Amino acid sequence: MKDMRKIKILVLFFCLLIASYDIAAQNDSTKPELSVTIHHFVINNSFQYLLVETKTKVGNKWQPLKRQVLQLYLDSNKPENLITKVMTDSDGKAKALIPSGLKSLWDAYAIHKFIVVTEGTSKEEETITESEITKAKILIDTSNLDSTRTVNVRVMRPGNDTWVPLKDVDVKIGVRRLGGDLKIGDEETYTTDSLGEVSAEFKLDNLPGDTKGNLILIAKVEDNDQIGSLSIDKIVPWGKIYKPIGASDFGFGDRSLWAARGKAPIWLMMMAYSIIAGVCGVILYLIFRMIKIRKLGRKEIYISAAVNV
Amino acid sequence: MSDLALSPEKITADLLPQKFSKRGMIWTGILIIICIAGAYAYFRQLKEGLIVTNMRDYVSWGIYISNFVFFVAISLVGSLITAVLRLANVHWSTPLTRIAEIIAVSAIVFASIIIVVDMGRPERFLNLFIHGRLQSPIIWDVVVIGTYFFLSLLLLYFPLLPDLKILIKNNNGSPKWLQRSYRFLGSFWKGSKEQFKISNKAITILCVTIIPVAFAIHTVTSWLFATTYRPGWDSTNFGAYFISGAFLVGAGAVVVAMYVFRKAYHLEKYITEFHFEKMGRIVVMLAFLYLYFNINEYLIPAFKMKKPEESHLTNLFAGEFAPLFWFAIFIGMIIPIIIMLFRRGRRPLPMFIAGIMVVVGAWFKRYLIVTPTLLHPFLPMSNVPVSFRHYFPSWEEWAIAMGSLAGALLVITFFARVFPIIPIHETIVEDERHA
Repeated sequence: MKDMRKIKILVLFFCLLIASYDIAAQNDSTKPELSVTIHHFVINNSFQYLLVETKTKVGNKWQPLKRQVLQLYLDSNKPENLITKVMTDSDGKAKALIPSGLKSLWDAYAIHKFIVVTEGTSKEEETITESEITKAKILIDTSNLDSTRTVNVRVMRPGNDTWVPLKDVDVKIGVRRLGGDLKIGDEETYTTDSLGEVSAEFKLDNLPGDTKGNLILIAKVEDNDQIGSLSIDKIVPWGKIYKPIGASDFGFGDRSLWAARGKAPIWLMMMAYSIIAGVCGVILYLIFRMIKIRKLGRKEIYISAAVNV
Repeated sequence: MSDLALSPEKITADLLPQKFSKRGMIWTGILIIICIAGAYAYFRQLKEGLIVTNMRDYVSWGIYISNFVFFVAISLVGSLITAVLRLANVHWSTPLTRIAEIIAVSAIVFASIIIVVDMGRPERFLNLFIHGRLQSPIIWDVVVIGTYFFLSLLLLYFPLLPDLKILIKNNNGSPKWLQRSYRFLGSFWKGSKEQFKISNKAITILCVTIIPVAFAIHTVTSWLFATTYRPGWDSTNFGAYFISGAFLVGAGAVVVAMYVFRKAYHLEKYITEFHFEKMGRIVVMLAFLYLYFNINEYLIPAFKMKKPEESHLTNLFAGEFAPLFWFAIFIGMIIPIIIMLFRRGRRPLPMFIAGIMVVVGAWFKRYLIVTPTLLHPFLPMSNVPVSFRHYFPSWEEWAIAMGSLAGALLVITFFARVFPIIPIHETIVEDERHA
């Protein structure tokens, strides 16, 4: 009897084990983990857009969620607050602009909430993600005293009727180059003081600018929890004048063995053409000799014909 | 020629073109079939594009360019036998001059054709001339090949004039179109003293001119490779290496043709063992010369074994191409030298076998010059497909290459059917001089 009971307990244990594994597997297949991140960008205090990044967990790895339909809302997920409906790309990202129809709502409050609703599919359930943003603006100014060039940046948020400084915000200051932004001083970032200001000395002497010597200074706040991402740029004549390099600067316009067809070296042309002319001259001379032989032969035919007559 | 003096009538009767025998008909039929197969393969290439070949991004010059280099090499024989020996006042080569010249003309014609075959868009051929850069060795090659063709044609035609008179006179039984062709080509030749004077002067000028042009064509063809900074090609030796190789394969081809024409047309009295003996000595000398250049070409880079050269050379000496490489060295040079170094080896049959070895070895040698280097680029691609790293010609490439070789042989065969393959007039004059 005891053995029978032991067997029953063991069978029950295995049944429970299999059932729990099956339930876990079902949960895994029906509810994959989903990550939605909302980024808010403001460029030059005028242009703003949203970037939504979606990821799903496949096995132990996060993969971009491709072709996922997203609904973006401002402040609440009512139809009248719909910003737009977008689909993620192959990187699992989607961009959206805030439409002009929501301008009055945007202007009315200092703090806003972005809501992203992922549409439910057979594999994924509908999810709602929210992100709160405080409106802010960033200003850039420069000074040039005693040959010391300084860049001053201010970050502010809306107060009661006016803009108030925002302290303890990390700001990056640099110069826009082709491969990215080049920092102007030793520091990677500068933190705003109680006046919402940072100052950085411009140490990049002899940096090539454009054809007028202009450089583009850029100040930016990146992914701040409170105000999102802001950037502003300003053109300053602090660079070296850039002289465009033409084909002639590399010698491509000169006559050379590697130049274009019309730029063959004179010595080569003279050599080649004189050899070609010489050989063609010989061939022509030989053809004339052949004509002469023909003429002599014809003449002889006429003479012999005349003699026979 | 044999010591036994022959009458001009006998010489004329012996050397006039003869109709194809049964063997000749079979030979011509086989060549035509190979040519048709080549033409069909080319039609497929035109229709489908170069994708029907096995040439890819690495080996972009395959069997076609190897064949081109082979044809260019073999064409040098015209200047060797005709020009060099004529200028050196060597008379024993008289029966061989026309064989050498027709080999040169047919080879240079098919060298030009095979280059067009290698072009992906042959309808753009004219662009080579319209947009060609004078700085490019490819344009130099186009110019020298054209020039060499015209000079070879003239060198074939001028000595043919006295024979055309004989052909017109002895035209019994020839088809009418052939009689008309003879008259069109040579009815004006009366054999007057003045005509001979002009003709002989023209031939001397041609001989003087064709030698530098022949050297130029082979040097420029070698520069197509040597001006490229690649393992196996980056050599200052290449011009001389190519010329020596061309002389050897050309002389080998003449030996083969001598034996075949001698047998087929019963020309034992005109192409004698003496001619084989003399040609044997020339071929041995040329084989030694080419072997010397080969040792230079491979030993010095192998001694230094620079990194980029290493894989190329080890591949040739002991790798994928080793059987072909040693075949080309032994069959194309060393064994023919051993055969022809001895008097008994300079008799017609051993010479014929050695001549075939030289020609076949030379063909594979050209393949080895072109292909292994292309398989070892300085900047290998990452994740390159396996098909890029190996090359074996497709059936279309083989058919076209063999078709071009058959075409060149067909030109020589038809020429020998229509014109005397041994100069009749010059043989009579030589015979009278000896008598």
